[in-house]
Amino acid sequence: MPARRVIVEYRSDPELARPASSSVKALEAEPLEHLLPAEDVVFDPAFAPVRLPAIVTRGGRREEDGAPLPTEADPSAEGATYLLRAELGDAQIEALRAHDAVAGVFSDPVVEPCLTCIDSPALGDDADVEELLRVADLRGCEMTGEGVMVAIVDGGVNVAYLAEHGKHPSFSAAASWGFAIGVKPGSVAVGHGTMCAFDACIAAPACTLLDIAVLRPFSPIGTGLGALLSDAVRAFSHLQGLLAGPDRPRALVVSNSWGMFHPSWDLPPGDAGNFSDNPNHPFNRSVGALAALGADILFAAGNCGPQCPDSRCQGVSSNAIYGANGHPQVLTVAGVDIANERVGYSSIGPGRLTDRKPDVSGYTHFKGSGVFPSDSGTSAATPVVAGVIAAVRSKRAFDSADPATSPAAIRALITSTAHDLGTAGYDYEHGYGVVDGARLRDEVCEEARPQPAGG
Amino acid sequence: VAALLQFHHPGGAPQLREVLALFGLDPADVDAEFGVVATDPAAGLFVVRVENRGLEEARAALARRAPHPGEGLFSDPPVEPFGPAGDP
Repeated sequence: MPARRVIVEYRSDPELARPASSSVKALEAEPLEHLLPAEDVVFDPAFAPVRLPAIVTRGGRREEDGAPLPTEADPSAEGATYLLRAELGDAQIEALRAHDAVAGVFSDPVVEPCLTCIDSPALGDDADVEELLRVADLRGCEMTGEGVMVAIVDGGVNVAYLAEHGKHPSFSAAASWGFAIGVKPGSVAVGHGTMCAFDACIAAPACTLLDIAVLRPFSPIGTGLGALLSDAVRAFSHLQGLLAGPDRPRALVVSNSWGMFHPSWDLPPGDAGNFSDNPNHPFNRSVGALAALGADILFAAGNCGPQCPDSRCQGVSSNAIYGANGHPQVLTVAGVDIANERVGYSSIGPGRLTDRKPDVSGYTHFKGSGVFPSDSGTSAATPVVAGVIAAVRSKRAFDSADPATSPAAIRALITSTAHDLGTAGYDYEHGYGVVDGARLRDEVCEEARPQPAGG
Repeated sequence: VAALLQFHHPGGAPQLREVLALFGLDPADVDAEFGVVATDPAAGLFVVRVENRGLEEARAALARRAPHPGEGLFSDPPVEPFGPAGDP
């Protein structure tokens, strides 16, 4: 059974020379028959023979003293060889190599484009993301995030910095929350949270930001930002109170660009106290309760993609969407660059709590906020999508009496309108595809719909 | 190592001292600054953060209570951002 793809190098052959004179003409199957030196060798007739000129020493001189002589390609047909593509079983390789007409048999490995890793330079900028999301069209339909609260659950937001960089959302200090007394919401040192806020404002420039400062300057296990999950439990309880209170916003979008990097951070699977796999964990219950109150909750898929995982993943890149990041009632966001290529660090599914995770992809790794050289990680992809949802919510506010406005309905809208990437349909790398502003506008914006004739 | 004690209390959020009494805990066994936090108030679920020294007592108290799927001692793992490496 042919199984291995190889490149077969044939010595000069007039049957191969003719199609090789054209770079596009494929080989007819018939001329190949005389070349078959072994059974179970399947040539690819769509692969036109490629002529490989002989390499000769310049001027025909011979090497006499051991020093290398200059070489050049011989343009004549004499001595040229021809490359064909074939599939064959391992047992046929030696038989093929032994044939007089065969100069060599070589592997033909799969090659893929170089994926973006976390230290790769930025690709494009926030203006490109704005264009890809068709933000101008969204704005034309008043899909700007106006009247919608976007909670940036992170390390704190600096509103003045946002203004200096062209973003002028409303800000609610009253509805914000911080882990520490004395931290003034909206005035936190510029960092990861401000990057996330900037990215949410790309598609939702008129939203109302909430600064939900959960991540502390020093992680319990590292030197950078971090928190304990119990800090997030408190933050989500605060957001539940916001939606259950008298000043309930017309919609609340909750963007979370954080999570666990390695299973050793948690109790093991099967332990009754485990978070990663356990829907009864207090934070997973808290997420479900907040969604039941009408919040649209997004979580980053994580940065443990197999091609270039974050070092904190410690090499674990499968089943790496832990706990709430793969909760059935959240939208889990993977990352793609502006060329619609998945970034190599974006975690792939399935999720631990839900099989089909991530749900959707968002743009990342572009030059944007200026906080970092690039707005990157699934950290950036998540608020980009959160901004799009806030734009949708401008036209489709939550109404507990209308199932079409439920968080589940919004998630279904986002995934059903996504531009498919990767394998057809759902896949664990991109979810249902990258969020598509144009299709969302067509679905949500009544003004954009074609009017019936005579209407 | 501290853990999250989630318990069922259908009458609404209890005071911390009520929780201490329910589970036979001392004030030093819990994180008073964390307090009592609602996780799923519609389902009557609340949580306190129990220090290592109070875990055995909490575990024993849980075993004496009527079983509830939401009750138990749960992990409190660290979390970190999925963002760019390094400082801004």
